[in-house]
Formats: sequence, structure tokens, C-alpha cells
Amino acid sequence: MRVSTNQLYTNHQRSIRQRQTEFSEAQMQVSTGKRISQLSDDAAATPYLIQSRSVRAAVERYQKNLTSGKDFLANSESALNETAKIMTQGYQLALQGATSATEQTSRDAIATTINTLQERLMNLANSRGNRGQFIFGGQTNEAAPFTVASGTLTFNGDTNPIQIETAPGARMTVSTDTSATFIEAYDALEALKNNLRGGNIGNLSGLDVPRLQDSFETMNALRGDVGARLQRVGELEIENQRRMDELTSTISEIEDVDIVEAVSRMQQTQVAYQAALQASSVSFNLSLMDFMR
Amino acid sequence: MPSPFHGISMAGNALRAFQRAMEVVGNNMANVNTRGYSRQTIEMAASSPTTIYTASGGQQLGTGVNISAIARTRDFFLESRMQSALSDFGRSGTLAESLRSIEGVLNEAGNRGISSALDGFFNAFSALGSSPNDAAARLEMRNAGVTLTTRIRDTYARLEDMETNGTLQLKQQVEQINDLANTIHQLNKQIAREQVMGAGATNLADQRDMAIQDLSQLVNLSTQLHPDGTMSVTVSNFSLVDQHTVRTLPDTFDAASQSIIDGSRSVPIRGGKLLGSLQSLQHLSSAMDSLDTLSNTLRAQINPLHASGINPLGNTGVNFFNDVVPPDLPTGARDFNLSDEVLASPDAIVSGVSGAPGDGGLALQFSELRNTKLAGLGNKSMLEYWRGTVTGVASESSFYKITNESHGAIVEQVQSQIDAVSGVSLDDEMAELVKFQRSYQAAARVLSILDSTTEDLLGMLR
Repeated sequence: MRVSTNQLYTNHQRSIRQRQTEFSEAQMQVSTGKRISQLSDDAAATPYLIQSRSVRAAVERYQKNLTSGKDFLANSESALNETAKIMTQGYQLALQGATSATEQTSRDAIATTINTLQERLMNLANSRGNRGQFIFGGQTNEAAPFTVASGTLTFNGDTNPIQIETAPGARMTVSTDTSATFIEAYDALEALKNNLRGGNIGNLSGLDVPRLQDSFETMNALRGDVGARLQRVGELEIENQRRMDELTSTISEIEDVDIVEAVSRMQQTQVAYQAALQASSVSFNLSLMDFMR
Repeated sequence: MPSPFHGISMAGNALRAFQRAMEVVGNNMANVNTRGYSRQTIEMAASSPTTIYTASGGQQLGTGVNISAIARTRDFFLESRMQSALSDFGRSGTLAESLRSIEGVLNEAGNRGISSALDGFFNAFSALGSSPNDAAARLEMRNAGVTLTTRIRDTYARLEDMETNGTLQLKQQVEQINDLANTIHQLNKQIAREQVMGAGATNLADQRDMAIQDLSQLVNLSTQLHPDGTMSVTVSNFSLVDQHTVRTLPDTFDAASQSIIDGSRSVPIRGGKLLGSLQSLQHLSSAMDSLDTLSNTLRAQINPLHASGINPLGNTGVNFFNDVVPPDLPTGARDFNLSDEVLASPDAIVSGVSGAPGDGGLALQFSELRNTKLAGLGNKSMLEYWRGTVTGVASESSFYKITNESHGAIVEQVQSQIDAVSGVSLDDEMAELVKFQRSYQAAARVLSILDSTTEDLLGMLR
């Protein structure tokens, strides 16, 4: 084939330019650590990359929801735990009061203790969560849900659930409907207090002791329910964390550079670039004119 | 019987011919870097012989050399291949460039695109629904809404700018086409005139070929060479230049049908940068349509439910996004924003229907919208719908990038074939130059010998 002078130069120019571009791309990948600077750099992976990022962002959100749900459940659990202790204490005091050997003055003293227990119970029923909300108030949770009037506990909240989103389309209820349980516990203590003051030993042992025990058990069952949900939250957190790690590595596989490969490619393109320069410098020096002296 | 000085005039002719030949070579060398220049060759022929009579009868005696032609070396087949290669290259180049810009505007490669804003938006609803008492979650919700609406609006505005520039670019291309058509028309006239005077008009033809090449980069065309040396140029069904006239291609267009509108007639554009521009405008408008659809879907899905609830301020009937009161339709992406109420206070955001401070039901419902397939979006969720748009642009962009590279390679290949035929090689020309120099020297020697024999003859007479 005939080669024109222009062709010779443009060919060299073109190959130098190409090698230079390849070298600078390889260099860019090494220095940024990213394989993709525009989505079209790997169009096939594009939908997968965006989707993975989107899912990861959602899972991250669910993880945070779980954290706030965990706080809520943990606060509920410790309040119910304390309440159960109060009921145990009430039960023991009832047994003590029911003994015929106990003097009436002692019963009066016990009744005063019961009064304190009732106050503590009410405080626990009006427990607040980390954001200041009343955790046993249902959704009406910005005013104290329980109030006492003439020896009865009244519930002013609602029984609508507080829920968190734990996965796409999945919700978990973190609130616990405790209104009836707290009222019953308070009433049981109120009855105990009255029977102690009245010295009704028969009622103390026949009614109050079993009633307090029942109340304790209901409280305990609620606590167990909260505990189970707390455990479920822990499991979900671990599951989500694993999912997030998976997604992170998927995303990294798509958009990040394999640094060993990138560096060796950079060296390779550098050599090619040098070769192109070398080839040009040799052939640029060739001309018939040099041989025609 | 030839004249006694026949030899001398023959040698003189040869000297002149070789002198011209060296000039042609010199001209080639001088134009080694001229774009579109075709190497010229000098063609020589033996001049008509004369008859001499010898004892054995009449004999033909050569009378030396004549220049028969100075021609440009061209391959017309390669030239027409070059036209179609340039037309493809022009189209894919324009498209690749504009798709890459659209991709840049969508900016989805990093974490600054609309996809991530949508994620943030739904996640903020999830956070608000999961802890409705948290004032910070409400604030975060508003910020996520601001981010989403701002990104959609900004993206739309930048696409609109690109559309304006694209239209401008297209009109400039039509202007260039008309300028080139005029150039070709003028050259046609000159070439026809020279042809009448019997000259080959090599340089003018070179210039016209170059104009045709430039033109084929802009638009698809077909050419026809007429016996009078003129060339007519047709774009699809529009006769741009014919033997004696030139017509102006109008710059009114219809991007959807990819054609130029000439009065009541449409001229379909099938190649070149002009087609690239028309298709770019189409890509832009479909990306803008996607944004409109997305914005209006967000309005339609969120606003009615949001308005059905009570916010912490005790108000009901508050929209989340700005909306135009019926019967006016929603206004699309151009002025997509949060409602004035939500912009004024994060407490205007509704998290539940009841308005109870702990009611996050509605917010959770909004968060779940992220996976809801919507009939209006072709049974895709909003995230999937937008992802589809982005993926479409990315794959088109990568397709045209690769296509443009291969079109470029074809242009280079054809160009190098053309160069091989028509390009000037200094080494070749140098060899030619030496050849003609030697020939000139030989002819000069012939002249001097004939001169001395003539002198000898004259000396005898003295």
C-alpha cells in the first residue's frame, strides 16, 4: 500500500493520542479508586448499582428504626419489671398483714408502705421514653396517660399502637397495651390497703393475696411479651447488618477498582504509550532526503 | 522531410515538459499539508510522429514528448464511502456527546441524583412514622422533601437549558448546511465555466469535494455529477443544489418525526450531525417528560392522603407538595415544590390521620409507597420508574459512545485509503523530482550535442 506523508504523521498522532487516553484513564482509576465515573461506563451494571444503593439506604433506615424501637421496648421492659417487683412486694406485705400474729399498728404501718408503692406504680405507669413521650399512653402520648382520683387509677390515653417499619412493608408494634393491667394492679393495692386498715384478716388472705399474685403474673406475662419483641429486634438488627454488609460489598464490586489489576493496567498502558512515542521518533527521522546528499 | 532543426526543437519540447513535470511535483510537495488536496500527476504522451522517406520507403520519426494532462488522482468509490461514513460519524458523535451531558445532568453515578433523593424522602417518612414524637424526624422529613423537590426542579431546569442550546445548535447546523450549499453552487458555476474553456479545474474540484465532505458530516446527502462538470446535491427528498440553482434548507423542524419542515412538506433527516441533534432533542424531551410524570405521581400519591390527616398544628387539608387547585392540572416538574404550609413549618407535616402525637400510621404508609407498583407508571414503583429512565440514558449513552468510536475508526480507515490514493508522499515526490531532474539533464545534453553537430555543419560551410 502507498503511504502518504500525511497519513504517516496522522497515524502516529492517532496512536499516540489513543495510548495517552488509555494511560490517563488507567491512571484516573488508580487515583480515584472508582471504576465508574459515569453510569454509561458500565451500563449493564447501572440498574443493579442504583437498586443496591437504594436498598442499602432503606436497610440503613430500618436499622435506625430498630434502634429507636429497641429504646422504646427497653424502657417498657424496665418499667414493667419494676412494677412486677412492686407487686411482689405488695404480695409479701399482704401475707405479712394476713398473719394473725401481726398487730393492727403494724398493719397500719404496712398500709402506709402500700401507699408509697401505689405512688411508685403510678409513676411507672406514666414512664417516659427517650423522646419524652409517655410510653404507655398509646398514640395520645404527650400528656400523662394515668391519673388518680379518689383511690382509682384512670387511663386517659388510647390503645392505638406505636409501630416501627422494620423491613419493606413490615411493621412491628413497639407499644404495649397496659391500661387494664395498671388499673387492676392499682385497684388490688387499694383494696389491700383498705383491708389492712380495716384489719379484715379474712379478706387479706382470702382475696388480696391471690389477687396480687394474679396481678403480678399478668404483669410478668406482659414483660415476657416485651422481652420477646426485644429479642426479635436484636435478631432483625443482626440480619439487617448482614444484609447491609452484603450490599456494601456488592456496590463496591460494581463501582470500585480492583487496585492490583488497575495498577498493573496502568503500567501496561504506560509501556504501550512509551512504545508508541518510540516508534514515532524512529519513523519521523526517516526521509529519502537524508540519503540524497 | 523534417526541418534541420527538428532535433533541437524536440529537445526543447522535452526540456519544457520536464520543467513542467518538476513544477507539478513541486506543487504536490508544497501542498503536502493541504486538507483535501489530491496528488496531481502529469501525463505525457509522445507527440505525433512525422514521416521521413528513406530508400526503403516512408518511415515514422518520433517528434518528442507532449504534456497530455495534469490530472488529480482520486477514487470516486472511496469518496462516496467517505460521505456515508462521515454522515454516520457526525450523527453518533452528536448523540454520544449530548447523551453524556444528559447523564451528567442526571448525576446518578455518585450519590447526588434524584434516585438517592427519593430514597432519602421515603426513608424520612419511615423515620417519622417510626418515631412520630420526634421533632427532629419531622424536620428531617421537610429537609428530605426540600432536597427531592430541589433536585427534580434543578435537573429539569438544566435539561431545559440543554434543550434551548440544542435547538440553537440545530439552527446553526442548518445555517452551515446552507453556507456549504452556496459554496458548492458557486464552485459549480466556476467549474462549468472552466470546463467550457477546456481546462480541468483540478483545484476547484478539490475544494468542492471538501465542501461535500463537510456537508455529509452535517446531513445525509446524495450527489450526482453532470457532464458539464457541475454536481447536484440532494438531502432526502429536498434538492439542495442542482445544476444551476441553490435552495435554502429551512430551519423549522419536528424532533418527534426527525424531519425538517419545508412549508407543508417534511424532509426526513436520515444522517449526519443534524439527525444527531434532532435525536438529542428527543432524548431531552423524554427525560423531561419522565420528570414531569414523577413529580405529578408524587403529588397524586401523597397529597390527598396527607390532606386527609391532622398535623401537629391542628390543621387538616394541608398538602405536602404544592398543587394547583382543580380543575387545573398539576404543573409538572418545572415548579415542583413543597406546599407553602410545609415550607413554613415542619409541624405542618402530617404523620397520622388522627393527629394524635404518637400516630405515625400515615407516614409509614407513605414510606411503603416506595415499593408500590403504580398503574400510571406502567406497573412500576416510583423508584423503578426513575431508575428505568436513568438506565435508559446510560445504556444509550454507552451504546453511542461505542458506536461513535467504531464510526470514527471507519472514517479513519476510509481516510487512510483515500490518502493512500490521493495523498502526497514526500519520498515519492522526491524520487519523481530526481527522475525528472535527470530527464531534464538528459534532454539538455541532447540539445547541447545537437547544437554542437549543427555548429560543426555550419563550420564546414565557412
